[in-house]
Amino acid sequence: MKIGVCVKSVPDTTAKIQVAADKKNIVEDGLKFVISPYDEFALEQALLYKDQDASIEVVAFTYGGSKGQDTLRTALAMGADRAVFISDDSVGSADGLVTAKVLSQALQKESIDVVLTGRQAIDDDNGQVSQMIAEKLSWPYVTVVSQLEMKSGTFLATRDVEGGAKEVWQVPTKSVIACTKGLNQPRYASLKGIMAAKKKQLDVITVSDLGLEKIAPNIEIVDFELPSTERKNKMFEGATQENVDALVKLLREEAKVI
Amino acid sequence: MSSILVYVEHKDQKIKSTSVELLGQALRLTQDTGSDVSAVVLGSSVQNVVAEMANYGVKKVFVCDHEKLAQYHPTHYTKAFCSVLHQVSPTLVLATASAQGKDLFPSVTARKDCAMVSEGVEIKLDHGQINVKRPMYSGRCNAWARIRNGVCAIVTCRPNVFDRYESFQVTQPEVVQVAVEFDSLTEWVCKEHIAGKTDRPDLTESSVIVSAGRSIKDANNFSILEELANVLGAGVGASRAAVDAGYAPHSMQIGQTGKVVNPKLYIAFGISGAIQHLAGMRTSKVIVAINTDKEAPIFQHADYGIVGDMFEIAPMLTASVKKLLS
Repeated sequence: MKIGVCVKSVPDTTAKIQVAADKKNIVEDGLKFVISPYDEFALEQALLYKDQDASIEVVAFTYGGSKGQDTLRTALAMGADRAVFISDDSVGSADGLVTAKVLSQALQKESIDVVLTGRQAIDDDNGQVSQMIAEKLSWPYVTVVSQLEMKSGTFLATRDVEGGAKEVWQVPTKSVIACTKGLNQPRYASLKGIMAAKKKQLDVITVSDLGLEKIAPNIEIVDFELPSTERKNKMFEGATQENVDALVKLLREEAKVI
Repeated sequence: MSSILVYVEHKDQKIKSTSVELLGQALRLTQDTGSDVSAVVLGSSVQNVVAEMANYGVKKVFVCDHEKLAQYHPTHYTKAFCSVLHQVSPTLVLATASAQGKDLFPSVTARKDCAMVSEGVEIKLDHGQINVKRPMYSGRCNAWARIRNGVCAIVTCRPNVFDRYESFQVTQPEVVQVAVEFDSLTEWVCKEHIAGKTDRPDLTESSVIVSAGRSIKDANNFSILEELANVLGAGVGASRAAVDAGYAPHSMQIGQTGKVVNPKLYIAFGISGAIQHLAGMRTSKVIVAINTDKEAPIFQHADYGIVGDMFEIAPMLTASVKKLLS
């Protein structure tokens, strides 16, 4: 069985985001790039299956610009067998659907049996690509999966819905599973793993190698802006009824929220 | 002429307040242009929901009423919604970024080659050009997305971002029944629905949220927040530190690897204000912080704050709000 894991290279969770001068992008220089945390849960899940069954092959896929290759090397160091890097300098302008068209083509070309991904990448926070890949492959999908059990050709996937409610879905292995926190605890790459990763196969291909023409995105990001951070900062000192009543009065009369 | 289609979610035979918010926004967006607003209702035995639609001033309601739609299923709902799109060809679809909306619309988008913007917070229609503002990088940055001309835009909107619409008119909308042949699926099925422990609104849809950090010290201590939440009609959340310490389930976690919330009022008890937590709540309209540490970063991001012990302040706050609302 061949498990395909789609991982995205993103600025780490504590990165300070600055808008580039042309407002069309963020400043990437000086940022540390990591595997998007939800994609790490997907990779770890694939590696857990491989730990149990050595015949399973885990192939990591990234569609990205120049930064993406380093994070694929991290995926190999964690234990993926191979990696496919689809290199595209104009990836920054791709929308979710372009990304899904490219990745689904690459997954198909590698005859992948199962696709695991994160529920969303933490840079553009779209949460679209998993379902779109499934649609392009005509496969079932389950998103926001916090528990996954594989047995005899099927998955039982527990999906987190609203207010702590859950749904348990049964799907065939040929499905796309979008993973969330709670599924597992991703491993760190060991020193041995990092050394081994240097010798593992990392194919670098282009969109045209996949037999695709350049796809025009349906969405263009025209302006980035930093959110306004102005807050009133009115402070009271001390846990007194007087302070609490003053706060409630402000919430009622000034902020008008209660 | 451009038209807007609103996806109406319902629960227990009632239209969800998040969908009413979108219906209002659709009417507001079209009030100058005179474009049509239509709605889509999917489900099984939804006649009450369809009847309730008369309160919201839309021209047409597209209804697909079928037993296969009794529970949400991605493939059936995708098929039903695409059938509606086939009939109406709107320029803009508004839906809620709810568990269902987030799951469904990427699949619809891929099938119909639309343009999908997730988590929209502001929409501008300018001579047929659609621009949508949305947070990125967990709210550390906003981006304006422009939709390619001639492509149907599907925007899943964050709850609580649009002002309340006051001028809904009662109409008798034309009801269009949409017939769909559903596949019979045996391999892709929902085996079990597990109810949540709480009947509070989901955090992502709550208009008021009270939440606590690790200094809550014990899962049972959440009762002091529950009491306040009951008075405010609020949802109850927790920081990652409180979840990791085992005081609250992950479904309550607010922040980068939890839920992103957007209430009108967010009250943080004993939360220091790590960047990952701010990522989940920084767009709240009004933020209140309660913390014993005067230097806690959360105070810089708060509109109002009290330096003091949450265990003393929470009950006082409950009593004070109760008195005000009585």
